[in-house]
Amino acid sequence: MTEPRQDPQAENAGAYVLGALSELETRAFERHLADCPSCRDEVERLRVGVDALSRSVEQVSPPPALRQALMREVEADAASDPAAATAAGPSTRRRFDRGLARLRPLLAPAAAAAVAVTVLAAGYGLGRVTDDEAAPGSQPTRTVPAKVNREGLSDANASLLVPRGADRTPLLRVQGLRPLKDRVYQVWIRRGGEIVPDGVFAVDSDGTGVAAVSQDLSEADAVLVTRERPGGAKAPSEVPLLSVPL
Amino acid sequence: MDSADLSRLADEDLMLLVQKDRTDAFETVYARHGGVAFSLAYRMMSTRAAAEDVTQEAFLAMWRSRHRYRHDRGSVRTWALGIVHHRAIDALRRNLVHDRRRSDSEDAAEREEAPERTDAEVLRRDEARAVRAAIDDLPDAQGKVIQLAYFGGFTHTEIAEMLEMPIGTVKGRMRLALDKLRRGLTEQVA
Repeated sequence: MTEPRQDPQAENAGAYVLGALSELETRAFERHLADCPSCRDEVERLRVGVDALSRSVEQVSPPPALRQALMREVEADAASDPAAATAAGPSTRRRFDRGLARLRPLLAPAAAAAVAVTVLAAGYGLGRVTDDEAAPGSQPTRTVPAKVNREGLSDANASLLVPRGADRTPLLRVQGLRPLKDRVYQVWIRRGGEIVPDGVFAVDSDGTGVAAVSQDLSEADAVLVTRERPGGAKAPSEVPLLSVPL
Repeated sequence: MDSADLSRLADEDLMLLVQKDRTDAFETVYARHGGVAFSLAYRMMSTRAAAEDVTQEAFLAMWRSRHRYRHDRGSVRTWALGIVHHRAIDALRRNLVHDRRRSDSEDAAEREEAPERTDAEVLRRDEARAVRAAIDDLPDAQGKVIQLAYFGGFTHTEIAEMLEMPIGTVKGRMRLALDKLRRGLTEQVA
């Protein structure tokens, strides 16, 4: 390892993080960084200053049209990427269809948008669909109410919002769950006979929370919630508190 | 889908979703960091049109390189600002335009400083002011070098020529200035 004072490249660290080296010099310095821990440390220290510079500018607002233009490109990119989502049609139209979205609760009989729930058996109850409509301009979303599986959780309810388009994120909205100390709520996906862990989430002091489902739900038959240790578990340690049949 | 739901998620959780090709999570990332990114682009490019182009290109590049993002290498905001800065420098050097003067109409009508609507925007503004104060505390020569390099997109060679200074001195002042900024900000936090 070369001492910083003797290392001729060391003096380039400041110019490098500021972007003030030429392209050739930048490449040479980056090759040098691969072999020089002290220069790497120096770069990391100096980056703090550069990070600060980037945030020092007068704050101005971008135009709303920029967001729309960006998302058109991103959604087109997602649609054209064979490794990414397949159902791109509705999502690329999202920006242009400004009618009100309608919620179609999965279990409701042929009438109304409001969901009538049925208590199935002792100790079980269906969660009420939360009362909010999708925001105007957002995609059509299927809302699936959860079953609440425990006595003492009678205030709890939840629903899973499943958007159309695999590039959109299913969300589990919960209400009436107790904030936990030293544990977290964890989401699981049941697919065939298998139960696979998804993310963990906490609820606010008012008992509401939102969990984003990161996995694809197209072949899932249920989404479940249990209480687990911080960071989550590999297998559920209890019978699910909430289950959303799909 | 209510975007307020996704906006409750931390950056790292949003990026996990982005890496699963979720465009709605990416839109939330833009909503959160687009303002500070655009502000940097505007400071460097001087016109809203050019700043919009740079910002859009930068975020599209972020989307396309989403699988390379690693939380342990830095925050999403730092990543975004780094890409914006890089794109802006490329644009400046491509155009060979280093004239930072704005037209009167740009100044008067288009600057539209972000109103302080949300806590996040107030924080952004306060942070910007604190850093500007730290920059103002730098000795003149260091401050000038930093401004030309970081915001002007000039290379160290160009700066040496403009300020009639040896290249070694320019590089040395860059390091000193960044080090001083870092120490100044650390002391503020303490």
